[in-house]
Amino acid sequence: MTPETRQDNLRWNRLGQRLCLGMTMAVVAVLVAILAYLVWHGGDRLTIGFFLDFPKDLGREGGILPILVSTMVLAVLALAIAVPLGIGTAVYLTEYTREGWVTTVIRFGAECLAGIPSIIFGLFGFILFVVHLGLGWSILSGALTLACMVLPTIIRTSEEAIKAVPAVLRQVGFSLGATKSQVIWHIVLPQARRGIITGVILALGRVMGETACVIFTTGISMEMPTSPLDSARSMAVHFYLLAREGISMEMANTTALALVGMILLINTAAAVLVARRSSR
Amino acid sequence: MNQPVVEARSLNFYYGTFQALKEISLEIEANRVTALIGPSGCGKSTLLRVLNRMSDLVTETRATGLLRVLGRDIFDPRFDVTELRREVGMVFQHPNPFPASVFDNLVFGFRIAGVADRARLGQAVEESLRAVDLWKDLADRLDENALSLSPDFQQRLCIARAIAIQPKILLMDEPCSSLDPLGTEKVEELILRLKQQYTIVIVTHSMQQAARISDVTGYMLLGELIEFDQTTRVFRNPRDPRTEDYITGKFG
Repeated sequence: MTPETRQDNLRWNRLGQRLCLGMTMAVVAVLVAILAYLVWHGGDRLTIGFFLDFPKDLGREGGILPILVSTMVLAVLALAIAVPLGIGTAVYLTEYTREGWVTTVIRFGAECLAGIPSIIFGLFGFILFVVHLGLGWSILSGALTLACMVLPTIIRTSEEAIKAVPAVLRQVGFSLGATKSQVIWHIVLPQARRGIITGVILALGRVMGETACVIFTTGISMEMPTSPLDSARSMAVHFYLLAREGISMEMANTTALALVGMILLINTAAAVLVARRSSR
Repeated sequence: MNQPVVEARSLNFYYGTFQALKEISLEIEANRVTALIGPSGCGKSTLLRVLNRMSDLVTETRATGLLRVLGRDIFDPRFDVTELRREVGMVFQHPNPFPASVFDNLVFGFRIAGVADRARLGQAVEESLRAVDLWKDLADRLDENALSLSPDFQQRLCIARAIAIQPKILLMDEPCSSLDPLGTEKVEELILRLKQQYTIVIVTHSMQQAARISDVTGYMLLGELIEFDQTTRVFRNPRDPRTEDYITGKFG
């Protein structure tokens, strides 16, 4: 190698490193900018009272208590539907079937589902749950629609987590007289727990932040919900309406900040929990 | 004479169209160590895995002939394979404890059988650890993650896990291949002690190991059982010239 090419290589090497660093910084900067904007424009209104007060004057004043409750009920219900279905499907695809055209078709279908825009899910949910099944604009309609939307994510991440469990651990289970379902229940799922939880958290974030699906299926009522068949308003929808209808940009920003903060908090808590349990 | 623990008559075994075992006939007696030796791909691991039907885990396998284990035809379609595996334990090539506590590893066989009584589980843990000479080392470390143990301890823990549910036969697939000489010595001592209670079948790549610990040795080549006799006789004057070639190192 001539000294010139050596110099050249070194220069390119350094340039490459700096380029990657620059791109990373740009990504982080976007995140920080969003958070900073929200804190700047909505931070001063974010008090305990904001979470505990009922909205007044269409949301110009007061807080978001019923909206907060609706958001959480919606998210919990959606995951309660989607998580068992998703894990069950993932277990079936990985443990009970051999790779073939059936699994390929199911997997392809799930992937297509993941690529469908959420507003299409909203429309589908409106037609099926709200109109045909007569559930009306309700938390239940919304939760069912959101469950459909996040199912592919949960299936995919659970499948990856299950596939990552070493085959030899399954063999040990069988060699100790375990049946297939015991191997899955006592070995595979506990070992895949970390990956599955990651997928569920990802889904939770999407469910909490989803707007289009919810506005079509759950409606926009600001009342405190008393049953899953009540119409309700999620935080994302509230934000959308406050901003879109020009009701109050300040309250919109505060709502957005609260939502983003909650999602960050949940992600952090989950990460800590998973790390602590798996370090044992 | 006692009834043999394992009895094979003209056993053939196929993976798809590939015949892995050819006309195997043998008898294994209780409380003996039987070593299976032979070059890679000769079928010795397959033979071992047929004995507790772990071979089922591979798709498209087929067996013909007779194989009786503990007096029962294990290819009988009505036969309960999970029951068989509780009576025919297995230790694998690499130490493979579950990534869980020492305690949880040892009681796995009980938990899946629905035993939850804490006292009984504790007793089983102590007995099985004593049997592999680990009790004094691990008595205070039962909550520790089994993966944090040394490879030698891990492998003995796996042996303890297999014998915790008190099988009658113990199958070992090259159990020392990832251990250092000291760990190997420890496991070999253990095997000689365990044969008082268990019938042991061990696959090994090491002829020295077969000579040291086994009572009976089987030499396999290309799916056939070429030689099956007292270990001393197999090593001193083998009947088949192919066996002699292998043990004198002309081949393999």
